Amino acid sequence: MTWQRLWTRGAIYLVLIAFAAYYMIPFYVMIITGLKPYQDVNVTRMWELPRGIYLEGIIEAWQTV
Amino acid sequence: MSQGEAGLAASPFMRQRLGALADRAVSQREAGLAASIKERKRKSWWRSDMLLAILVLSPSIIAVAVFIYSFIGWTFYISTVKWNSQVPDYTFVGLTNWVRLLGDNRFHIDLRNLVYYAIGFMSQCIIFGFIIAALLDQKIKGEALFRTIIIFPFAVSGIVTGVAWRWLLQPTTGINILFANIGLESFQPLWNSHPKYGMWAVSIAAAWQMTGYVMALYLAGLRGIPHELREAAAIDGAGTLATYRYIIIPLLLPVTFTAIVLTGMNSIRVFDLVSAMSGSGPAFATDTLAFNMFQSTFGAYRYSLGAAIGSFMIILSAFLVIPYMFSMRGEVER
Repeated sequence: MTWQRLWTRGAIYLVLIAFAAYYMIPFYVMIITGLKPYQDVNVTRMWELPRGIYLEGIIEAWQTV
Repeated sequence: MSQGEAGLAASPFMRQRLGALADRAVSQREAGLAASIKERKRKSWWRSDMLLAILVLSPSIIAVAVFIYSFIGWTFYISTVKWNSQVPDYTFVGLTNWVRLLGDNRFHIDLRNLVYYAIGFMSQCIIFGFIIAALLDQKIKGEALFRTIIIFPFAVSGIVTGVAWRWLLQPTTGINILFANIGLESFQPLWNSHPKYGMWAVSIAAAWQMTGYVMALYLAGLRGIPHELREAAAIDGAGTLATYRYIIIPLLLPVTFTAIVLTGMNSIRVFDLVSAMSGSGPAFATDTLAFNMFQSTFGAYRYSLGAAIGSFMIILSAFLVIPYMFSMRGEVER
């Protein structure tokens, strides 16, 4: 495997990973927000991970359905 | 470069062999084609299974006729009467509703938004879809994983997409926080709250959802291209870019056409996304034809005006679909 080939393969994987990350962003936000307790849901801190796994939102959604 | 030279050195023999192979393939195909045409000509237009076919197809034909075409006709009819309150009023007024619609400022803004949205949405879907498909076609490890991730948004409903992107595209939070964190404090667009170009932001969310589908179309098209063609191009000294420019992109033209028609129809009828993201937005910046139709019909009870907008959307889609149908018919007969 030549250096040039290694470079192109690396570049292809890098671009694909970047695209995959872009398509995952909304899912990331959806899922971490779903796992937060109500008082922590705040648009200014939407990127932060929840402090633990809280299922109250999901349970209530299930009961409403 | 060395690859190309090696290819050229090997070419006389290989080219001869490939040429012979290609000739044989073509002659076989032509023979098969001629046979099938002869067979088709021998059969009369009335075949023994015709009655059965009509019998089996008639329920769905009747259902389509009643539930699609008669209702389209009904919508056109309503757009020519004076039903502009909650009480139905079938007084014929001709094209009054249409004249009113064509002079309506909100309708003009909707058309402008449609152009913005269609350009943004179609170019993102087709360019990103093609790039991802072309990269995934390079014998990638974990191709199935990438494919799943990228096509997954297509399974998400438009309302969910709208809500998620509504958070992401908040001017003071969302993606703009990420931009600020990497040192782009001055680059803080208003996204879908922009009073003039809000529709571009909506097209980002829509393309996020639809690109995976276009990618799947292109990937299927790429897998359908015979391997000999690429080999022949490589032997003739074509690099990767030249192969794509002169062989692959022209061969994928029918796929591109399909993608244009599908995404174009999606841009005419977009409703769920804008109603979840921002409604009609500031100064109708994210208003669409479908949203305008919904509000005039069920919000303002201007049934006839709403029917006129709906009929206009049908005519607009027909301009996209009818050429597509003709090209598909040509394909089937060939």
